Amino acid sequence: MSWRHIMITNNARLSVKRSQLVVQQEDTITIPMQDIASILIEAQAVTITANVLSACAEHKVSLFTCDSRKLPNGIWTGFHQHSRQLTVLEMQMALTKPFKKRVWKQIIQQKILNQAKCLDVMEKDGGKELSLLIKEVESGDATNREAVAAKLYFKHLFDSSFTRRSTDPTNRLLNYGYAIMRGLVARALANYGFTTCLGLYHDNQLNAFNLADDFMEVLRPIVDCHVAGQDVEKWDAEVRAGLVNLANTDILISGERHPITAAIDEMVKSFVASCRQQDYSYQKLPELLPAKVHQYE
Amino acid sequence: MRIMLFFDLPVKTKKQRRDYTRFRNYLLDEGFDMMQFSVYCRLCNGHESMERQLEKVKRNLPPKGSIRALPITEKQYERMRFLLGDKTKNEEKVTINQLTLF
Repeated sequence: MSWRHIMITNNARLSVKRSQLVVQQEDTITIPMQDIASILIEAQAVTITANVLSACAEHKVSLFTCDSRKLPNGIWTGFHQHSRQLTVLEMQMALTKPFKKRVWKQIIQQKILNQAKCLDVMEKDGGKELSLLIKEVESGDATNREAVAAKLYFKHLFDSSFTRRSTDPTNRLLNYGYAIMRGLVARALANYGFTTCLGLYHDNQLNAFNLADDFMEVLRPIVDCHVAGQDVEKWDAEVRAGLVNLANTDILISGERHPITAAIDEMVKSFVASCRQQDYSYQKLPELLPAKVHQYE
Repeated sequence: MRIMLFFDLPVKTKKQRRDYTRFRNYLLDEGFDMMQFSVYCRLCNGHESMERQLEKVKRNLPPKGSIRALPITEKQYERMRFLLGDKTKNEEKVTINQLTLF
């Protein structure tokens, strides 16, 4: 199982030798490809061989590229690496509307619960109000409790003038964190053979990652929680590394602690089960814990 | 968690040499790092993945020779004394930390 996340912040040359990623800077370091979950390329003058891209697809690594403001703007995921691509696609196409709506309901309920937990962890008000909203979520979130919750939540978490649409530095941090989560979810979905443009709720024709956007909703509060405890004016490699490192923080899924990378895998695996059985009760979703980086002995 | 692997393999005949090279290349492909001649080491994230890795190695052993594997935890590994010489660059940079910055 892959567990390593790599961030390239200085110029380097990346190549592959003996199934290992070779990073050439002052020193030459090798890392086994099979351990890597994601590579984020932030520096502008990084040379990368086609072999690396191919090995990334083969070993199911998601590779991010960044724009000149260092915000992730591209994800590389494997193309049709799953052995039963058509079976999964057919399964996805055959999902019924009620099923999708029920799963979406669960996602929104979990998202609001995580938002409430986030407020509690940050010792802000509003957790109770949000918890009350959870019961009101209808199938397919027909009454759009998600938006109501989000408005309440952001008001309490940051300040009342905060909006997601403005260009203040908080949003820059949030966007960065969300992009990482989205990439990790897209990676897991691609690993299980899903076609990510077919979403449950999201159905933007211009979006290749609708399904990833559905499942990353539950993970947003983790990023929010991290950003709320930070000096948002700062924007250096350390801050960005902190955001990437969120992938290693612990989260609860079906009662067990897992690093987020592994929890996303669990979530997608349970989605496969629930699709196969046409039973939404198989779906597992992660629950926010106070931030702590997962430790391997 | 790390696996340390020690081996002595016969290299007298052509076939033995071929078996030896095949095994060594296999180890390198699997992400084992050469600590010293005939001493290889691989990082694993936890006990379970260590067991899985060992099973894989077992399926790829050469026909003859002597090979030992010693699983140790990070704490034990850190207590290794360097009597002469230093850590390799790879060893310094690639640790159990899940996020590696370059």
